[in-house]
Parts: sequence; structure tokens; C-alpha cells
Amino acid sequence: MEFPESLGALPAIEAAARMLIARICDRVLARGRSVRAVVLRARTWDGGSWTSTVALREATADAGRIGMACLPRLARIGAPVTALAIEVDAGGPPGAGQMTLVARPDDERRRRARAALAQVRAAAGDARVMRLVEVEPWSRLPERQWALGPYEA
Amino acid sequence: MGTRALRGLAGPQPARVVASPGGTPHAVITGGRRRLVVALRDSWRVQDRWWTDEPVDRAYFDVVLEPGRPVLLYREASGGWFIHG
Repeated sequence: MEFPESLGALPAIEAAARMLIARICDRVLARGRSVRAVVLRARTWDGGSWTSTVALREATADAGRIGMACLPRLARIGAPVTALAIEVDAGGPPGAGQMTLVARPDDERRRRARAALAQVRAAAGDARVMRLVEVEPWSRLPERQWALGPYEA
Repeated sequence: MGTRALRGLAGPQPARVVASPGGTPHAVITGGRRRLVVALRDSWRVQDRWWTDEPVDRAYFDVVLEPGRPVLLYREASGGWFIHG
């Protein structure tokens, strides 16, 4: 979104961001998908650029939730803005955030664990999610019994 | 297992331990504070990897520090103390 004159007031930048988020949610909902992380990009009046990635606590297509996560970041731009863009950085599963009709605690726990893992991956990268692996269970030295291995769900 | 290799967990760390002349731990200085050993739950000796260039000879102590933190300590044959976890 380009602005004919640079926007310096935060409420104006936030209003523009809300419009962009609403457009994203329309597109995402039309495909029955959800959003896990978004990238905020801004071009500043002096030709500089600003980027920030926002990982959402759980995948959603709700504009209000995405806005709550994204809008506070805009205060960090620190200069009048001539262009603003918001892109989906990581998509989520279809129907994320919908409630089930019949409560199944195990399914819900697994779903939440998957969502939490995906959130960590989106925020910190794949290499930060590890699995405990038993390597020498027979060893009498505690530090040799377990190791951290890649977690590939 | 994928392209990324296994990685060791955080290993034992050197510890400051106050011990009796017989070698039983009485207190551990951790985080700048002296914590008394309030219970000695178990102790055992491990001699292992004697066939390598890095043989292991440790006296382990499974203790509880005040106010109730369980800790695994060991003393190397060379005299140094270490704490797990």
C-alpha cells in the first residue's frame, strides 16, 4: 500500500495495517486456510526499509487477533512511512481455531502441541525444536544416556 | 534421523561443594548462596571407560538441598566437584 504523503501518525499507520490485514483474512478465509506468521514491511520517508516478522500464538484467520499481534510492532518503525505491506509468512491448517462439537481431550492436546511446535518453528526456526533421544540407556554416566536430536513431526 | 546430528545435553557443571573430611557433601554454593545438604538419599561409585584415554572415576551423591531441591553431585577422583542439571 503506497501513500501519496508519508504517514507519521501511528493511528494512521495502524488504520492502513488493519485494511491490509482485513484483505489478507478475506483471501485466507476464501481458501479455507489460516495464518501462522506474517511479515510487516514498511518503506520510510528517507528511503529506508523496515521489516518485522510476527509469529502468532496459534494459527488463525481472525483479523482482530492478527491485528492484536501486529499493530504494537508498528510503533517500532520510528519514522514516517511512505509504503506499508503485510505478507503471510507461514500458513496454517484449514479451519484452525474452530471448536469441535464433541470434546476429545487427547485430540485437543495433540492439536495444541502441534500448534505450539509450529509457532516455535515460525518464530525461532526448525533447528530450535529438538527431541530427547535415548542414546546409551545402559551408561552409568547420566550425560551419556540422552541427547538432543532433530524433531521431525 | 535427518541431516542434523545428535547434540549432547547440557553436561555436568563444576560446583563449589563443602564436604566432610570423609568426602560427604555438607553444602553446595550455588547462585552465590550456600545451600545445606538436608538429605543424602543415595551414594555410589562409578568407574567406567577405563579402557579409553578418558577413564571415569566418580563418587556420586544423590542429595536434597535446602529448601528441598533434589540434586545429583559427583566428586572426581582428582577431587573436583560437579553438579548435574
